[in-house]
Amino acid sequence: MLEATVKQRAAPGSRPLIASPRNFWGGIALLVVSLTALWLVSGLSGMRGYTFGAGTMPRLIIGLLIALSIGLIGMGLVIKGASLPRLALRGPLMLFAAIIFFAVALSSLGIVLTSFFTYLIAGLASKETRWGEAVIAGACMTVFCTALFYYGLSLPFPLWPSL
Amino acid sequence: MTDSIYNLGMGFGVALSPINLAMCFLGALMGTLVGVLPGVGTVATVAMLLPLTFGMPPETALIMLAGIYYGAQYGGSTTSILVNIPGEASSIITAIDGFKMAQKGRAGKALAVAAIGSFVAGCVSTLLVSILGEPLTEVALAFGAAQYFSLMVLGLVLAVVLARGSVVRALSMVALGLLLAMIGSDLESGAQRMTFGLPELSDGLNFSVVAMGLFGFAEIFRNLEDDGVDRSVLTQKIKGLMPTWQDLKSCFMPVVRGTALGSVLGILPGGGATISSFAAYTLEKKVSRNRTEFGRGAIEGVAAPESANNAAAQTSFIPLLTLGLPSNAVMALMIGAMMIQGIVPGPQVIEKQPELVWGLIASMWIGNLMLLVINLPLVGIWVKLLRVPYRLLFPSIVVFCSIGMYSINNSPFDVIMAGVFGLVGYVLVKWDFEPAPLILGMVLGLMVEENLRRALIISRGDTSVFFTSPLSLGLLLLSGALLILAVLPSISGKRNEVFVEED
Repeated sequence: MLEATVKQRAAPGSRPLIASPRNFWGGIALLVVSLTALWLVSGLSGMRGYTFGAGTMPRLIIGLLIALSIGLIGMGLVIKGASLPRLALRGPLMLFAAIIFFAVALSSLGIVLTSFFTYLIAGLASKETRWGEAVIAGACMTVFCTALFYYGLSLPFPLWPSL
Repeated sequence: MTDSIYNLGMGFGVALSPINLAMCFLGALMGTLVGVLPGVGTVATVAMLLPLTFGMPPETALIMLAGIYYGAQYGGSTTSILVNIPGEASSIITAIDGFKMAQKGRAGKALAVAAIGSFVAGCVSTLLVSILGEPLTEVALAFGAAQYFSLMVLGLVLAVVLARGSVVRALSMVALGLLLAMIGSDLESGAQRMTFGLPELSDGLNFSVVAMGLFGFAEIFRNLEDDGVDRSVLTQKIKGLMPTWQDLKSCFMPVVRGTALGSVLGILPGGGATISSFAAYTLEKKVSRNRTEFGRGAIEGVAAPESANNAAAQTSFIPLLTLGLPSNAVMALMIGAMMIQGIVPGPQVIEKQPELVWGLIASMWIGNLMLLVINLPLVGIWVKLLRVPYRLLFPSIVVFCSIGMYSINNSPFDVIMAGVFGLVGYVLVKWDFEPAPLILGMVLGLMVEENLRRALIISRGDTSVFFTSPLSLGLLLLSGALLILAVLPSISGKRNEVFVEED
């Protein structure tokens, strides 16, 4: 969806329909979130007399959010504003991958290997990474984290892969 | 008065115990260390280091967190002055004149004045917290559910008004935060709300996980795009740390004014520290004899916002300790930490756990003193750290934060959620949606619900209860007025003024 919105911005036109894409698409995104939430809380009980049900407060908030997102969409159509920013893909996605790798690998691979490989995967996020120094720095970081978290704070995760 | 001296004495007794002293020092040191990293703001630092405190007893944990908080603030100022990368809104102002001073070879003086100004401000406001804490707690005890609800509305509105940019956008962030707070079991009925059937979500989204993602990871994602950092100042040798007599004289009044302004603004729920540095800078620019120098390296332009910032940081503990209301994102994290320790923040804490509260207040002062000691002699080390290229730092930060997130509950799920919120935060920041109001909304969400619920039960469904109590009515009227003022375009033009001045 992000890619699509970026392309939208590039479309030429003398008078753009969307005056402020950040407000407009922000409003759309919030509207999607609130409608999803509304559907998710649909099974929860509402007001009983003057007592709140489990779903009352969420629905109140969702109502507010829907009103605000419609406001944002309206503003986006009328008031001129900044165009959509260019979102970097490589950096955030590689870092995200590193974080996910860490989460999945830690309990089976152990802290030493997981830290080291997480460092290297994160290194993929930047064009500037030089692999020689990254391996050395990653090793140092691994030693530091193992010493601090495993030996120092004795957090309960394995040191090495369990066979 | 004698009471507060007695209480403060008790506080020092707690704070000066070897373990607490050591943890306060360690916190301040770690806070500075992480806060110095370019682009890592105070909130991100506190969020990253929060897990370190989980295994500790409550007093020690909170004292260490306070140390981390102040350390992070000093670290942020150091980075703003030396490389002009403010980690967050409140140090943008310091960067204006601080970096200009550094370019003129006066980096040492700027750093020293920032530290001394903050220390003076810290001393005054610590005293203020200890004097005001007790009476305000009594006021707080008079708050019923309806008044609490209205106060929280005011807090959220203030967060919106003080946020950068569009009011509607900030409001929608608050609403999104409130909605996120609803995830998990309903407190009353135990019904699962928006949990997707995941057992990991039945206790709700972990607050520090969301904060870590929105502020920590998102920050790194965004920083990867910034190159072209001016590191020229770092190649010079930082010398002339001691300000001259003339410097001290010209800074005296700015520090006093900054402290006063910051102390008052910090008490307001809803974002004191950030606005206080802007306010102090703007005020100084109006009243200073030296006003033409502002923006070109005026020492007053560093002294005033830095003192204001620190004073506000201190007094923002007042609403936290007396009402259990966080006034900014860092205080929100503190509340999260308190809840993890099993402490429900609010007026009862000061009665039931006086050692905790007064120990915290005393350690604020000690933390300030430590920072003066850490920051000035160790400036050489921070400079070396700033010379480490970012390409080596960011993977380390990712590894460090991931371990930290994992260690909260030994849960891979938390790490994944932090990553997801990192992406969310990145998109939000790029689209000019500020994440700070979201965090405040998320922290207050359940309290808002509980008090609204309770107020309506007590009044038997009569919604006029919010308008018949003078206190509640006053708070709501104030919120409404602020919101209207903020929406008026002329005012919002003024709000942005201070931000425009940076270039």
